[in-house]
Amino acid sequence: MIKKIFSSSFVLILLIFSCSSDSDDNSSEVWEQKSEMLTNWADNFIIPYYTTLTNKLENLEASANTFTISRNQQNLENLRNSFINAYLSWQYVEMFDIGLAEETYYKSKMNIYPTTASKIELNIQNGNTDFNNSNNFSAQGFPALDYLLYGIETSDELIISKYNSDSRYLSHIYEIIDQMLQNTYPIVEDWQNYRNPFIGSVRNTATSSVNKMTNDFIYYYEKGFRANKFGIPAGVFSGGALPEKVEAFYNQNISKALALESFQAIKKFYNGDGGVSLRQYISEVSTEEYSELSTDILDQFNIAENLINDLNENFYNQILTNNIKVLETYDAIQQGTILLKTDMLSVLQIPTDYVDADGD
Amino acid sequence: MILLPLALISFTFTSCDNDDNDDPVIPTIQAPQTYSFERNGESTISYSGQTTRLEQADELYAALNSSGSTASGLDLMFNGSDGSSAGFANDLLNGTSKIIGSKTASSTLSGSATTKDKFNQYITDFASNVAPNWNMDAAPGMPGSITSPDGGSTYQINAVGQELDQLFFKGLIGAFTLDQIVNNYIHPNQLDSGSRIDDNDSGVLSDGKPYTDMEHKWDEGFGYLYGQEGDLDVVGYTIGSAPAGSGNLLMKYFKKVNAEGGYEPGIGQIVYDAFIMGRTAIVNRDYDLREAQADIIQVELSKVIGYYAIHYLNDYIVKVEAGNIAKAHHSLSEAYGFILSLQFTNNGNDEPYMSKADVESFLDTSLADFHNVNQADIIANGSGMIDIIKAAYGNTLMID
Repeated sequence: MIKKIFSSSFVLILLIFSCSSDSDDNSSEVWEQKSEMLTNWADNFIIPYYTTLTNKLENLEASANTFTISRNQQNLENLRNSFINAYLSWQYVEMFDIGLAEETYYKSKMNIYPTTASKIELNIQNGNTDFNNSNNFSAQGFPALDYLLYGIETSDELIISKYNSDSRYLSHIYEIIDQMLQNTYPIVEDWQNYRNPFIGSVRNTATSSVNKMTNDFIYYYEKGFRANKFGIPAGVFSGGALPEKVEAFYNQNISKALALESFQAIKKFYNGDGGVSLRQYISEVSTEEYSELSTDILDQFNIAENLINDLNENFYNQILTNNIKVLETYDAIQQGTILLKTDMLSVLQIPTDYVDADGD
Repeated sequence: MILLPLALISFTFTSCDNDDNDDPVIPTIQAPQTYSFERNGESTISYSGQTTRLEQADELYAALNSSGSTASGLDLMFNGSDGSSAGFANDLLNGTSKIIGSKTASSTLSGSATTKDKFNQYITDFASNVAPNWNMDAAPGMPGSITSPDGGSTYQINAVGQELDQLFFKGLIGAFTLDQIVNNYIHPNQLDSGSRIDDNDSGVLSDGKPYTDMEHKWDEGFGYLYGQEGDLDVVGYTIGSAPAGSGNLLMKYFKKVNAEGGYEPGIGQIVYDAFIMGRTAIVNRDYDLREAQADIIQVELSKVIGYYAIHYLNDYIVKVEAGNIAKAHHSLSEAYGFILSLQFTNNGNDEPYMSKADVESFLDTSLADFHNVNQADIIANGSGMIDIIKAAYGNTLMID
């Protein structure tokens, strides 16, 4: 009797196993790979990137202090450099819209552009800005600082004199930087607890870390990178071009640098930077039909990156003078979207967890 | 004792098929004769957004044939204003979120910002060069009018001899209607995104609507082809065997291919049945069957583009040989648009029958200047455009 129960259980286990490997989920080998990937993401990407960003934001706060004490050209330049450094390190963090960051609308508070300058001015006049009110999401974070450090007047001289004459402007810089830190600290802290559940969440379900983070990565590529930095300002979703929608509009000369940094973040995340990430995982589980996919994605990234490199440092000027080059770049980036969203997700058997509004 | 493991086996197989062990048995429906589906006695079919866009296209087509049109007016009709449709004489078409331009060359699979931009450029070229020279005689390098020898037909062409409304509209057949159907709405990118499979499996309906998201997306694909069919209740009206929708986009040529004496009579019923069977499969949660029907639709509708690209290339040669230069320009303009459309075809494996790069090499070299066309580029045995297109379709097109 015992023997018979054993044999029937054995049949059952065998069948569960064979049907699981079809759906590419529950076998322990796949679990281990996913866990290794998640561990790499947490320990070598997410947590250190947040640490770097925090340091840069603290440097930014220190530079703002120095500028407050002595409002001269040199200190303005230092403040701006700290701003640019922090903005560059932000490019590595924006894609991690998961956990507390997602719950607190972190990325919306940090980088919605174009910023609403009129709202910033109004907040300065009124004081007591409620930064948690979503109406103020476009009046804080990096784009608001971009306005305050480059856009409130037409020359550096006038900007400095504005800060000399109206202390409310100075304190608003502070408030915004402080808010950015207050937004960031709890997330950094939360990751100490969140790390273990994050790396252990390997099932193929809509809420598992693997599925959510992979979707976040693709969403960032499609929306944060492709649409926001290229498509929207180049007019892909409107009739004419909208160059005033480039990232860092008031300091347009860094728009390309920010985009390239963002692309570095995308490539590193995909490649794993020495550890296991999507590239290795695709190679491991891909069928014959997609045997070249992991390198196809890399090749497409390189094609797109070469096109970005050919653009003017200043995307605003590039769009005004020769928008076709931006549209061509957008198309090359879009080819990457297809590989990631259609082919990669198909190989990984992960459903997309977001839909595009189609207006119908 | 042997029965027990067998019972387990069959139980396990069932759960394999179904992903979700707790799924209740679903009552399956038979495919209906017509594209009509109901839930609790209420129709679940809706594609009014597609009809709106198709009607917008009709007005835009007329505007691209009027010397009074301006660049800003045409752009408004094509791209709307701040995400809202505008510029149409029929006010029902204004103030909606339905904008043709936002759905032009826009699918995830085959969309392209540079191709979309070509349509913007056609508008600019038309408004700045063609419309102001409406009554001038066209010549190489000179936009204006050109009339057929019998005086029966007059066309307006740009400096390189292209009739822009034809480039625009025959291009839109692929970039807009076909692309939205075969590369978007009946594609898993759209049907399966977000929680749509789970929702469809468990009967979760769209907000306040009688249909699931997946059902609706499939209907929207249907609407881009059949959205301008007339009153379906008329006795003897057979949308399947004799599609008769009005309009200037995909349906116009789908009807011609299907007609008696057309290139492939019967295509109408094949496509209609596949739409019905695919929609039935969604109701029955049979996604493999749905995909098989999508493949049929992709392949069959893609053929319409191939047929008419070749048809108008042939027609161009005929008109040139007959000395009818005006009609030759007209036919080549239609061919140009259909060739542009080829990049939006789908061979059932999510690949176009002709790639964007190959399409553009035709358009930008052989067809860059209609006043200087080398006929061999079109008709040369094996290496001409006609033979290349036939080969791209694996010689499945029934056309000479």
